[in-house]
Amino acid sequence: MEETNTRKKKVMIRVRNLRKEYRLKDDTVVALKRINLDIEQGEICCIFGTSGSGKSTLLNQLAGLEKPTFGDIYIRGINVVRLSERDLAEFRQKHIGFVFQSYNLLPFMNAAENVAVPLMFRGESKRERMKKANAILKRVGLANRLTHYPKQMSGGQQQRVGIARAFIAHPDVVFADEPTGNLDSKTTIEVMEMIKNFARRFDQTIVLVTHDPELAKYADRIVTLVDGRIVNDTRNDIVRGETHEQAI
Amino acid sequence: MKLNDMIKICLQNLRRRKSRTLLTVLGVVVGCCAIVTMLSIGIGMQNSMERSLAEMGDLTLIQVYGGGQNAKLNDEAIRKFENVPGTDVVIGKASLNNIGFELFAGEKDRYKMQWAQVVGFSKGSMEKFGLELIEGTFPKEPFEVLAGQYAAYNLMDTQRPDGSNMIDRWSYMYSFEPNTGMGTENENPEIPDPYLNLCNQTMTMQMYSYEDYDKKFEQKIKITGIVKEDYNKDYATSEGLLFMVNDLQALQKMVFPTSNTRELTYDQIYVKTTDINQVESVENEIKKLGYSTWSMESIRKPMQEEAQQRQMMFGGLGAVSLFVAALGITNTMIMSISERTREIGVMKALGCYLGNIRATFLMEAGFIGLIGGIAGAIISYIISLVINLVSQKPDFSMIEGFGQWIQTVLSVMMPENSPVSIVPIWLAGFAILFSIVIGLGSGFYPANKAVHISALEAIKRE
Ligand SMILES: Nc1ncnc2c1ncn2[C@@H]1O[C@H](COP(=O)(O)OP(=O)(O)OP(=O)(O)O)[C@@H](O)[C@H]1O
Ligand SMILES: [Mg+2]
Repeated sequence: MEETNTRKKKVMIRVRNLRKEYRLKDDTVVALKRINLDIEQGEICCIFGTSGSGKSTLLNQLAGLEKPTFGDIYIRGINVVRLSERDLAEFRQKHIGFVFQSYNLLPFMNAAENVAVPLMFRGESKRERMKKANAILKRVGLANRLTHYPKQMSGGQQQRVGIARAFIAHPDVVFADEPTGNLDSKTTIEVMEMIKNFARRFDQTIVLVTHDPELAKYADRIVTLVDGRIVNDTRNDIVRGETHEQAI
Repeated sequence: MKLNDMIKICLQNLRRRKSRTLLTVLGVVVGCCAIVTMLSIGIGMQNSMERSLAEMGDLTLIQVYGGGQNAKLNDEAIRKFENVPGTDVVIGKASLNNIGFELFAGEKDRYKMQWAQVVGFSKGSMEKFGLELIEGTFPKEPFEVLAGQYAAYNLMDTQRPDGSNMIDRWSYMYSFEPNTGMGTENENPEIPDPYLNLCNQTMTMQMYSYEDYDKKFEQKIKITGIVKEDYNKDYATSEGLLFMVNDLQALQKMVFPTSNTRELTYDQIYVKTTDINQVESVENEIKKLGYSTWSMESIRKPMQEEAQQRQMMFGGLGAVSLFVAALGITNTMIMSISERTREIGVMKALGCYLGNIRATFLMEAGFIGLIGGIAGAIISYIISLVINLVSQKPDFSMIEGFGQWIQTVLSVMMPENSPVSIVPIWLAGFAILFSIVIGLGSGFYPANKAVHISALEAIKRE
């Protein structure tokens, strides 16, 4: 059942002939070489590979944080490579969420304010957005930490705030680069379950970058990079089934 | 992003680095104070200059001299001058020609005035000339006149013996050293009242022509008011009578009915302008009509120019320190931006508009300017007060007691001699506005820098 549903789903991210070069003083590093990739709506896609294989570079291109040297990236049919700065900002507000390895909460705001930041950028009123922020923080189990500042929270708590921030605006795609890189194994499991549950609930797409095979288990699909090339692309049906059962 | 959210973020960021913000604000305060204080001293100088000029005479008054056939001082000239733009009022002054007179007042003409300076003012110009009345009103009807402040002392009491029939007010005002004959002014002279208060008195004016002393002409005049002595306006304000000019004309006709003077010529014409700045242009217009002129402008202009130069120099000195403060703001902003690189990256990654980021930083810089400007303006007022205190009372008598201190403060607030430093409200407003502009200006480059920080900064690990 699940399987057939997923098959019908439309493509959320489409990458065509993507190439990224970094020009240094005397040589050129080719970080990505001719990447072609389709990621479907609702898919949890893990980009896997060793250090230096180009995972972060790929994610940065997909999220529009950096312009590729060549190629096109369509998200919801829109070529983000061609978007202007302003349109890209608006596109991110509406369709994209981020979970960062080092949490990147704004230090001068408390937990609830941090979660509400994407809504603030959209121009939502303070009352509206704080209501939503409080609700989602309760869902990540931080109901008693609403007014705590980042400095006053543990890494795991901060990352939960980060997850709440990524999902509060109901984005279509959430990008996460080593989201558990700074966390212990128990917290890693908590955080990954949380991301997965959020994504499943609203059928959101997750692009997860990791070099940790343990983390890859949470994905529906594992795309393996070596030296800027996709060398393997597997569906991880078993894992998906398992976690789905767990979630219920 | 909503404006109040941006303001909140900007205030939070300023509060985060309190001491640095405070020091930067302090720089603006110093710069602002420097400019305001310097300019206030310049304004004070100009003010005292204008005051001392005003004591020398009315700055808006132009004296007109006639010249030849085409430039007569007559009614036509008055009309012409009245049409010159910038003219407030034209005053013509005339006197009696070849006529002698005596004046009688009191019961059975007991009091007699053998001499009085007589001057005639063109119609309606007495009030506008700025004559001040001690009592009574300005004349309206024919042969109503004003008397000078001390005119009544020229009255002679015909029922007293010679030698003691007049009050010599000068003898009360000065003490004479019998040996040397030197006079010194008495500080508080007690001058007795004149025999008669001339206000509202009716006097009989008995005239004769210098060509025929025996033929007398009589005219009753009524004194409606007493005018305050002011030699700058006319000697008649002291010991004379001030007529309306057409009455003088009538008297002239009465004594010389056959003379062929069809029109009246004035001794002097004054043109009063609407304000000081009009004097030069009005004077030029009158000169074009063929008259020659004189006004305080010939003294005021070069003094004014010099004062302006001095003011520019002072202001320039102040501006230099505000410029230094601007560098301080830029420096602070650049520092805080490099500290906040990651935050800015995160904000961009989360979809913050570049315009909002720029606005936030500009606001921060502008706010530093605003706070510095307001504090600077307030402190400038204090500095100005202190300067005036010190320059006014260099002996610091305030130390002796609170009452004296109050006295001193009051004497500064309502100074008899002009204060050294004046901070008009526009200067304070200008200083605040200027500080905001300086803040925004110095925030421009850092804000641009912030906008160009890459969102990738947010992803990079420490
Ligand atoms: N800004 C850059 N300038 C030059 N070279 C870069 C830049 N960013 C990445 N590279 C190069 O591109 C290649 C891929 O880097 P990338 O950061 O994508 O690796 P990664 O797979 O994320 O590694 P890790 O697991 O260590 O994070 C590396 O060889 C790296 O040196
Ligand atoms: Mg990486």
